[in-house]
Amino acid sequence: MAPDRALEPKVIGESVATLRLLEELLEEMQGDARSSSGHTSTLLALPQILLRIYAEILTVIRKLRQSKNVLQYAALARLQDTQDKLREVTSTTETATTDLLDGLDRALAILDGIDASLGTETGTRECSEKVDELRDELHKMMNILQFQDITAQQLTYVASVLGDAEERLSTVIDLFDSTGIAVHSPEESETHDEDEPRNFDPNATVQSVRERQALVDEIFSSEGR
Amino acid sequence: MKFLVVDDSATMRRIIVNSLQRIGFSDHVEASDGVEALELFDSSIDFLITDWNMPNMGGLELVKAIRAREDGKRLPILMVTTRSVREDIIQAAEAGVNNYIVKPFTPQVLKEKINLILGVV
Repeated sequence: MAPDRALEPKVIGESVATLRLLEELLEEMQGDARSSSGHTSTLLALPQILLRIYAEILTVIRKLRQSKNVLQYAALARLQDTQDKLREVTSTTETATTDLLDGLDRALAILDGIDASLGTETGTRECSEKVDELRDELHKMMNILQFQDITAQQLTYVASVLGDAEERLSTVIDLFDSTGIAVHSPEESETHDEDEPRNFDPNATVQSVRERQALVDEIFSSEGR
Repeated sequence: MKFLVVDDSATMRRIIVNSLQRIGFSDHVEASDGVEALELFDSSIDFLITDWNMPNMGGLELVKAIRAREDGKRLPILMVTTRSVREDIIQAAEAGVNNYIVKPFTPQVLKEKINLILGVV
């Protein structure tokens, strides 16, 4: 049976009305046995109404089971992914910080070398070489700072998953509203408009950059570009 | 040679510009998304370096918009992005980028790709 949201409030209304009718009938039958004959047609229709209610209740139960699976997916798979991203942010910032500290150590050692070369016979040439070396180190350090762009995208992704989880929880709260029972799957309820550009890459990473660049080069060379 | 550098991350723009200066290109303008880039794009621009994921207008849409213009058909375009799924790379190539760099990159890779594009275009 295909789920029909519009039917749910109607069925609930009918169920209430049917139960009231049953209650009235039972009261009347208890009070006056003769009056029961007037309600024969209504009583004949009752099994059909009850079967319909039963079928709708089954639909609702099925939807609740589906919702449970969707919520499990959202809670486990997507939040697990979020956790992994946060771990990668921590590890990336730690690696970048270590690389920067190493670069600063090397830069300081070069400065010490420049200092020592000053005043010696070969000082000017040595100083010039060391200045070049120092420049290289400083450029390397600047490039390490690319991690900020990548971790920012990872954190934006995490924020979007949390926003999605918040929306999903609102849907769960709405479960108790008579107008909606089912929780939609993340694919169904994807709020991102495909025409609207995303300002982050959910797969942004600093990992395996050589392999990823090699794939680019392979594609571009095969495209004859 | 004048570069138009487009990235929503100010840090990335600074790193790209710094790398460009290091390899001998000092003339540039910067934009933080595709919309701003289109406003800045004119005949004085000789080379476009763009990110993919940006607000308002992403890099792919920017490339398509520029390629649709008469004055943008032969503009050298380099995409610099974190996106590295095969389908994305192919999509960018089909949209008209001349080459593609995966972030994080080194100045050596940037230089190599710029030279490659300038040699090809």
